[in-house]
Amino acid sequence: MEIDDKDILEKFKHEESRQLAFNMLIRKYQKRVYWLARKMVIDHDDANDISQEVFVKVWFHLEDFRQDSGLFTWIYRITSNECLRILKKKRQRFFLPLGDVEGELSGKIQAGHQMNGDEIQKKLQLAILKLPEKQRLVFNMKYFEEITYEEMSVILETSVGALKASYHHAVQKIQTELKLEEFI
Amino acid sequence: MNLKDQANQRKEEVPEEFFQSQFDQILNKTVAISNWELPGTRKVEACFTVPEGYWLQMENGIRAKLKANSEPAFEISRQWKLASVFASFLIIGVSIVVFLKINPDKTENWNAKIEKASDSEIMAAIDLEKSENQELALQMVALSLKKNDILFQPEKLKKEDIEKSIDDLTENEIYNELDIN
Repeated sequence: MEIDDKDILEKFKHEESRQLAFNMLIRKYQKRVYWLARKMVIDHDDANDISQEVFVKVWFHLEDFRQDSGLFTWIYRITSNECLRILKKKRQRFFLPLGDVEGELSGKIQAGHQMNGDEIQKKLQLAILKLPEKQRLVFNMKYFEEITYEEMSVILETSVGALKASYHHAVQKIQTELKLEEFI
Repeated sequence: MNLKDQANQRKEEVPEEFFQSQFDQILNKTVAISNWELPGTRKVEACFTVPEGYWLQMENGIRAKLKANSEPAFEISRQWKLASVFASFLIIGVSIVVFLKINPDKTENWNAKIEKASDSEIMAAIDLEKSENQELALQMVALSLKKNDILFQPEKLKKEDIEKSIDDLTENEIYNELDIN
């Protein structure tokens, strides 16, 4: 049975049940947070760092959460920001242009240590990596997580129209990329 | 040439259904994109390798991080901010004291000197008759005194004080404000 967000938030308000509420929250969202991060950064260790950082931030800021949006939406917003932050940090640390970080991630997929899917899965992931970071986030959320445009709009603070356009372009680019690879 | 252009060239009216068919095409294209799927790729999670027992490890990792950060992150940064502000004030304070010790207020000493000097000493120092550039010197002194907020009293000035006050002026002030060519 899935734990209700309201129950978690109510328990978190009280000192004596705060730890329990937080454990419930981790159990409920850890996989979704991790997988969103993993699809963005490919590497397990990076996805692990992002996930832990997200929950540490949740612990310190859950009291300030105003419940204007759903708890899941709020956690996803922290996760997507953290993913973008880590990717930016990677570029800054190694003074790399955008394409080189993605090149490094592509290398990880091709090496096969991080991913053991079939060839079509790898080709799709490689095509996704060629998208700009925010478009990649939109594609991953829509294609894999099946998040609605309305929810995504709250998470990414972008209009529904812009998200639809972004997804449309992402699919077209992926199709072109896969056609080049003679997969379609 | 598209249908619309062809119709225009034949000066025919564009059929009503033309727009509907265009609209349907666009709609189909959009729906086709939003339903686009590469068969067998939606469940990508199974393809990424995750170490065994990882989910429990993640929970433990989060707890360890929280323990290490038992003080909220923003509290630490606030403490650091306070500490750095305090340190800045301390450094500025020490710098001012050191500066004052090395460079005692010249104006104060100068004023005191003028106060102590007798009229004859002052008049002898200025020696208006002997100095060829006295007017210029006095102008400079006046400017320097103005800078230091002191009333200009030429009869109470000594030669060294005039020299000192000229030293106080920057080259630009001399050239710009006194119009020396």
